[in-house]
This record gives sequence, structure tokens and C-alpha cells, in this order.
Amino acid sequence: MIEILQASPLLTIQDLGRTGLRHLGIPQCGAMDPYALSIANWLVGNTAEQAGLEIVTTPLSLRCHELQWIALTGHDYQARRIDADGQETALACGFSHAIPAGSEVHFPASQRQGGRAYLAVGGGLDVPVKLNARSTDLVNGFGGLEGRPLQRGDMLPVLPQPTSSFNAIQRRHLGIRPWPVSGRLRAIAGVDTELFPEQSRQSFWYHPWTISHNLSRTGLRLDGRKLHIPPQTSRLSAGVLPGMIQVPGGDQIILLSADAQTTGGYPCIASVITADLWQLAYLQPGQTITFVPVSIAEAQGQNSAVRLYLHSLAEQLGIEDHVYQ
Amino acid sequence: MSIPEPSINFATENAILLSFAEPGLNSEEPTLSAEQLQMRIIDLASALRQSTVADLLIDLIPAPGSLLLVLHDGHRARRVLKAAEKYWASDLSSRRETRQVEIPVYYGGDNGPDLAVVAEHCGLTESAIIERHCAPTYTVSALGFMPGFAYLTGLDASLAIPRRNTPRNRIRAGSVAIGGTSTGIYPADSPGGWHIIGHTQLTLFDPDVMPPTYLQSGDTVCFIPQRDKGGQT
Repeated sequence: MIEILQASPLLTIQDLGRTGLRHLGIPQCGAMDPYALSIANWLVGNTAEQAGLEIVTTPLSLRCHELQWIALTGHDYQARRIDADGQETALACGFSHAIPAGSEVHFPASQRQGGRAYLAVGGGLDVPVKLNARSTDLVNGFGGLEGRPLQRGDMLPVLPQPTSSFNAIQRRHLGIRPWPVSGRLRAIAGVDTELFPEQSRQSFWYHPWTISHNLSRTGLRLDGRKLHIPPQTSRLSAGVLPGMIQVPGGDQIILLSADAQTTGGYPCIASVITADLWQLAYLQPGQTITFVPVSIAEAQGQNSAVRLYLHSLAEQLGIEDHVYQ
Repeated sequence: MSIPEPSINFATENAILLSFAEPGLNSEEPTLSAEQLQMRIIDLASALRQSTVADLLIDLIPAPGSLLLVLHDGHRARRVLKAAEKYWASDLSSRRETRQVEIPVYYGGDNGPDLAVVAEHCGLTESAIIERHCAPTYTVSALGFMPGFAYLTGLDASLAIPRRNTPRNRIRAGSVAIGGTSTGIYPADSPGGWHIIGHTQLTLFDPDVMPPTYLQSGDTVCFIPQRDKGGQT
């Protein structure tokens, strides 16, 4: 059992999300950086799809009521283990750590907000599976723990730790380095690119866009230039996916993210490639990003390359996992 | 009868959007009505779900006039498109089992606070609004926007009304509403700008049951007016 002693805003339980239900209007949800959650899971001997914590900000603290192995990935919030006798130990990101029964994990308040961090626990968090996933759907209020962000006093059950694969990781002291966030997002032309005048298309690509304060797991609104859409353009609602960039016509554009609704009517100028979507987990208001055009073939190739890399990572950690095969 | 050819675009590197031209455009032959076209799109989705390429697909998302095919790996797009093309050219309707769903609705009063507004706007009595709202057989052309929300086609044109100037912060689940030329049922408490004319006690989305949505694309829907008060649930 893991007890939340102090909850930070928007602390949720996430796994790799719900797939195959968008035709019923049910969004994907899941970790904004699925690769980081997968790696954290592997480091504690889990398969990639186990549920862990998605941490958006600090301070945050929790207590392990039994001995637990945990791993932290994503942004480094300088977490520390604090034992019953007051002794403190730094918890390095990208490695697994034993937390003895009764010990606490503290994420101190940080000046440097860098986006999301992931905490995986050996076995995985044992909340009920709702529609194929344990992910919290904050918009629709189900999944995770009662469909809501975690709060002080929540007790999170943990599944039994898989032993064999985990012992090997421990023996070898393996760690995984995080990827740098470049803010350079590769994207393919969107389904409605042709609707936009050449000038708008040119000012979309390569020029900086600023992350506004209006950002959530549903989407990030970006400030930059007004993109002109021919006024007579009307478009029926069609299926939309995370990564698609919508242009409502005002001063902002919207980059859809994990919790995005399943259909939308705004014209879509471009779509961020799957291999770069993990970066959305770390973008902060005021930060600038640029969109770099790539071909569909390159986007598909990058996706395969990332999956191949992740699959080999799991293999090197001795985890039998087919998620990225 | 000419069947419109879709335009084919990658929505992401792993997803293909098939957009079907408005029926009647660029053709002098008799074409499918919008409703027939939509049923064909839904039939195409179910044919692909049962086909040999089903394993390559994560999801198939119909929307009014389009179908979004989401693949595990965009490299397989050619195979999926070939299958889609084959089914699109064939007679799909034989595969269909149309479900007919009746939705009991308590109209007016606390259940439909905007019924009077709609009646005034449309120049009809409240009972005429109810009668005309219950008369048609609607079709679920797609689900989207929120879990279990059905895009219904078939609203009597005389009931069209622009959305409210000020959206409500909270519309309770089960509210039956009209916005523009559409009608729909709110599956969950949510903000919204449509005019609420009634309420149903049916649960339209429940993550604990399978399937989790009461309505499915392709269903036909009738609203059945209830006589007693219904009341708040």
C-alpha cells in the first residue's frame, strides 16, 4: 500500500491509456510521456503497461507501508527517501530504489518546474481496470482512483512484485538516461493543410510558437501568429487524435494531447509525429517550440526506430515485453 | 447509383482519414443521400472490423461524412486501404443489423427548461414541438465529442434554433437538447449551449458495462414522450 501524504495538483494514476474506444467517444488518456512510464516500469521489473503515478508538479510526498521498489523517470524533481529515523537518501532518476516499509518519498517544492515525472512501483498500482486501462480520465471522471486527481490520505494498493526479471536489473545496477527535450517537434502536413493560404503555412513551420498558460492533458494552446483560414471554409466534425494541430481561427492554435476528445471540427494544419509526442509532457508556459516538417515516410520510420530502441532497452533489462514490438 | 470516392489523407503517420464528398456534388447521376452515405460509412467500418486487416487496426472512427482509420503501424496503410476499397465497392448493407432504440423522454418543466424558448422561436406550441421532436426516426451518424454522445440526424427543420448566447455551466446528464439543426442527449453532466427541451433517465455512458455506450453508430433512435412528471434523478 502506498499512502499519499501530500498531493500536488493533477497528480494522477496513468498507464499506457485506453485504445480502440475512440469510436464510442472515449479518449485515450494515459501517460503524456508513455516512453518514460514504460522505462520506469521496466526498471522495477514490470511490463510497460503497468499503472504508475504521473506527477505534474511538487511538493509531493508519499509513504510505502511495505517494502517497495520504485523507479523515477521524466523530469528530475530531486526526490529523496526519508527513513523513520530521519535519514535522507537522494533518489536518482532512471534507477530503481528500495523503499523500506514505513519510509517516505519526498519531492520537495521546486523553483525549476520542468513538467512531468513518472513513478513506477514494482508490481504496478492496483486500481480497477476500467475500459481496458487503469488510466485516470479526468475529463470524464473515471479510471485511476475514482476518476479524480489523488489527494492526501489516498491509499494505493500495489500488485505483487515480479521477481525474476527484477533481480537481474538489481544485480547489474542498470539505469536509463532521459532524453533531452528539444522543443523541436517534427510534424507531417495535416488533413486540412490545403485549406490554408501559402503565407499561413509558411508562418506555421519553423517559426517559434509559445506555450500559453492554457495547457492541460487535453491540449496545449500556443501563441504565435494568426493563421488565416478562408472565411467560407466549413468543415464537418471528423475523428481527431493526439498530436493533431487545430486552427480555430483566433490568435492561438491547439496541439491536441492525450485526453483530447475524439472528434473535432477545427481545420488541422499539421500533426506532430508519434515519436516526438512525449515532449508535450515537459513543455511549460512561456517556453517556445518550433514545428519542423517531415514526410509521412520519415514519420513512420521515426516511429519504428523509437519502438525498436525501446524494445531493445526492455530486452537489455531482461524484461519480456511485446508492447513495442 | 454512383458511390462517392473518398479523399484519402494521413491524419497522423499511423492514421488515415477517408473523407467522402458531399453527395450530389460533381455528378449528374443519382447519388446517395447524406443518410445513405453515412450508413455506408458505418457499414464499411463494421466490415473492416471483421476483415483480415482487423488486426492492423487500433480503431475505426466514423464521423459525419468521414471515417478515420487508426493503425498500429502506418507502414501497413496500403493493405488497409486496399481492403477498404474492396468493401466500399461491394454491397455492404447485407451485413447490417440495425438496432432500433427507444428513448423515453420527459419533456418540458424542470426536465426541459428551454422548451418555451424553443416554442417561441419556432412559432409553435410546446406540444407541437414535442410532437415534431418525437415524430422522426433519427439515425446515430457517429459518436464523439464526449463518451456516448450521439450525433443524431433527422431533426425536423422547423425545430432548428441557434445555440444559446450564454452556454450553461452545467447541463445534467440525460438532458435532451436542440442546437442549430441538431438534436442530442448529454451523456454526462457538462457545460453546453444547446436548448434543453427534455430529459431521459437512461444512462448513456457507463464505464462499468460493456459496451459502455447505450447508443452505437448506425442505430436508429425514436424519442417516446412520457406522461408523468419524471422528476429529477
